Amino acid sequence: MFLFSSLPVIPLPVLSLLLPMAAAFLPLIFYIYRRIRCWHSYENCTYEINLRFLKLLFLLVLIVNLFLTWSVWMSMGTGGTELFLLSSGGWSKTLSPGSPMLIKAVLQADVFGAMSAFLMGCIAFIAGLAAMADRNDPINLSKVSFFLTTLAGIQGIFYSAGIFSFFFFILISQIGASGLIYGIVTAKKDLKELTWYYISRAMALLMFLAGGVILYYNYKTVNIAVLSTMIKLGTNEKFAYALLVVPLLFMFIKSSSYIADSSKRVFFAIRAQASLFVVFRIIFSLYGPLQGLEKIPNLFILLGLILLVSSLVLTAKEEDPVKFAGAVELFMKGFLIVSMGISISGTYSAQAAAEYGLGAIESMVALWILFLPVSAALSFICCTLKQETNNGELWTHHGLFNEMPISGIAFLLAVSVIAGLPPFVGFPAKQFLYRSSNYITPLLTIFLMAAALAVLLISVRYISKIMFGKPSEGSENIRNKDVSVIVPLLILFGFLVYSTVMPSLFFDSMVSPSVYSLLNKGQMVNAINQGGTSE
Amino acid sequence: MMSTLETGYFIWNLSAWLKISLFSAGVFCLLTFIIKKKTGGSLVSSRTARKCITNHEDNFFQQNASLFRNRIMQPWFDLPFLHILSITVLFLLFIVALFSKNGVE
Repeated sequence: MFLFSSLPVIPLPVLSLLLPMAAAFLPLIFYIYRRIRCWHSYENCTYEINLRFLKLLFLLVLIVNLFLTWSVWMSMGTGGTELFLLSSGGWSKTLSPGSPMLIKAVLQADVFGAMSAFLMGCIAFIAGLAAMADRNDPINLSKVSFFLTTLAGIQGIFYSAGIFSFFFFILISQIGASGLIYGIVTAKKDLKELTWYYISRAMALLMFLAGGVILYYNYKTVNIAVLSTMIKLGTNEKFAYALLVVPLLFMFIKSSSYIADSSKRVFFAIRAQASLFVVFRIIFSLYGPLQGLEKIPNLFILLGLILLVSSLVLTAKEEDPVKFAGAVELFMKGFLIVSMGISISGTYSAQAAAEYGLGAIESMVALWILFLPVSAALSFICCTLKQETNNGELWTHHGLFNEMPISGIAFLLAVSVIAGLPPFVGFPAKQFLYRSSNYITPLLTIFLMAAALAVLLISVRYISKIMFGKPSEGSENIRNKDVSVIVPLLILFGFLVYSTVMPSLFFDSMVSPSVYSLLNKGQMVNAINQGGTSE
Repeated sequence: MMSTLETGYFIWNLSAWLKISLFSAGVFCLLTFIIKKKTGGSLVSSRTARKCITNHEDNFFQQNASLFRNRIMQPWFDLPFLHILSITVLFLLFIVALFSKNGVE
């Protein structure tokens, strides 16, 4: 009732959060209604929802979501953090640790979160288009429901202001993601097979919750803006750090199981990106460069290097396109984690920040932004190559460029961006990282450059084999297999080309403001004490 | 195309990098042209090509990487409790990094 009375003055970020959440429940309600109707029918229950209506609803939600997230991003300008509080007095923008109001919900909107939500909205829209065009696995009620549940969960992560709200939205996105991979599992045999999966996910979520509880027990708040002004590193805080970071880092690295559905893979990439967003918030916005965390950068660099080596081993001699895409994504994740390690190391002193810290953070955020469109493009291409034909899977035929020219060019562009080949947009991002890593040790720079070169060579070899290799017998019957993904690919292609031709705009409008809002704790303090935007 | 990339922290000369890229591409093309001219239209001379096997086997890196993946990595990937193990190992690594006194300057 209270929520309805507050609707006329509802802030835009709240509205953009409520929309996918409400929409996620709508197909779920339809689904439950259908299940109830078919509960006691022993003969085949034929109650089906109109598919055209479902597609229209799905498309409408994605478009409105895109528009709302864009509006929130535009309203944020270039800096500042805004807090939106739902208290007994309605919506307000002021939060203080000793506030007498009964706070029911707090949302935080800053450039980083707003930009991330918009980017996610764009990619979700593209994935939605691909899901609706997929004839091999037509869209249905449960698929729409799980897509929207994942979307709602991730949207919530980008606007969350506290650790418990992070937990809540991670849980929602986990429900959506589990449903996307395995559907609704009811058979005992399937449940038994998935026991380890569910235990691992439950363990990750409980660890995150435990970290939040430790901080709440010590500081009586879990709001990141408030906590960042109070936190002092002791034993409890160290445990909380590990408990909060580890599960999300794991979810980022191991974002999905082997899956050959492009739209589902894209949603898992979105989820992986959102997991890293939470890690950024905890590491940079909540803890910051506290004394006692000096070894963490080295650990991140070590983990990143392990991922890079693993990805090179996995890409070598790999023929399955989906596994190849997974290995190349692992390479991007390795680079991101190395850049995170260097970034943390560069925030410990003003000199380090000036020399390499800020450059490394810019590189990290740029790589993080590029991760989603590039992995989406890879998913569309590689899942198309996995399609079944009369003579086996599509990729086994080789020499496919004449039939899939858009996919071929997009594949090459994606790989060039991943490897940081100049003049593509991946290069400015990696160039900052090479410069920063040189301050840690020149050996690291050499290794990173060698790894980028190796992945480029392996990928070009793979593409040339698939696209320009000798066609197999029966491949003459293949006609335009990438028709269903042409629109999503062209949109992604447009984004990558635009950011390649206009890197200044890409950095100025997306990267630099995000870095500013991620690091600047002063604006968060201002948001608590005064409310509203501050520079 | 923008000639410089300014991010608030760094200014990066795009046109200079473009010139370097074009120069490198030019050198590469020139080398290819010279080699092709010397070998009679082929990148590899006919004498060397005779020794080459058209359906060549995978190189040293690929063979060993594939062996390492299949024999060492794959059994771990197949473990049903790999995810729990990974989370536990990651957690232990963080705990060691957070609580260990060794190596702190």
